Amino acid sequence: MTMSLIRLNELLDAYGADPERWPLEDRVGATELLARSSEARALARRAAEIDDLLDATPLNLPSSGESAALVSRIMDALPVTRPQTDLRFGWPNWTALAAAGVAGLMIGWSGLNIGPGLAATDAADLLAPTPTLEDTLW
Amino acid sequence: MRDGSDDDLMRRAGSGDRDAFARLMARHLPRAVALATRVSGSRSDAEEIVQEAFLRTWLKAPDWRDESAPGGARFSTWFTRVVVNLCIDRRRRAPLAPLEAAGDVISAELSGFDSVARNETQGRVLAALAKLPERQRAALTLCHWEGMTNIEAAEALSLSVGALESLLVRARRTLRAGLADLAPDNVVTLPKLRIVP
Repeated sequence: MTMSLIRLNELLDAYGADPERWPLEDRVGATELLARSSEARALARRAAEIDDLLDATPLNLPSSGESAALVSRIMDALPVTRPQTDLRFGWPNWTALAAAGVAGLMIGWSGLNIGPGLAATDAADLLAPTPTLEDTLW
Repeated sequence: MRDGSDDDLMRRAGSGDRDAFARLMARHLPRAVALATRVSGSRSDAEEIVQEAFLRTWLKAPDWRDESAPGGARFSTWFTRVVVNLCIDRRRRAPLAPLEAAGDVISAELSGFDSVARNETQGRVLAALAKLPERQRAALTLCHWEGMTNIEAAEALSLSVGALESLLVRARRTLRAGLADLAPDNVVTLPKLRIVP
């Protein structure tokens, strides 16, 4: 696929002038454009200058002595044991969870029968006349 | 799993083998310090960040899944992501300096860079890098110095490739504007561009 100069400019601005840093899918198109366009090559030179400035900065790698000291410091700071799930607390939690589930089922089951019924009964009771002894007997 | 590979050392560390973990650290620590120094701008911050990253790695080890497992990862990519995110989080949590101290903020940020600059040009470049937003600097660090592909860097920063590319473009254009006098070919400007079919 043919690459436009605009896309090449974005590519150079993002990844610099070294083709090794370009996304694979852009390499062929960019290389072809650079081969035939002096403007493309000018853009590549501009990007290469920024690459050179970046490459000239120090790597900041620690010396072997500094690395060893830091490794030692980190090893000293590691916890002796890792936090783990404690079974002594795990079982009661499972038990509590199971109990809560059973209780939930019981409430849900009884609620299906009496929940709405209770509300209806309560409303009916408020409206209904007080039952007489005869009503109760019947 | 190859004996002595990162995944092998993580597996052994996961079962409590501290020597294996020390080997893993010795392998990745220098690069991690360099990466964290570039992204955070401070060598002392970088050392604390790397220490925290390895502590998290030690805690993660028992549950480590290599890249062949579902939801697994390549150790170096995963660890880079931990380091970069710690750098960004640290800057996000840093208290804001009072306004009257604004003039000192840049020099404080630059202290880590200034201490390693070998000449004026390096100092200028490092100062320009220090002024970039953290995520732009992280993207540039991963793609330029760490040699990551755009896909790897995007994964390490939890971004899409398009978003990563946008960060990189903004970073390099800012650097170009700030360092124009050090790069004579930067007189090439966009209005001269035309579409080449």
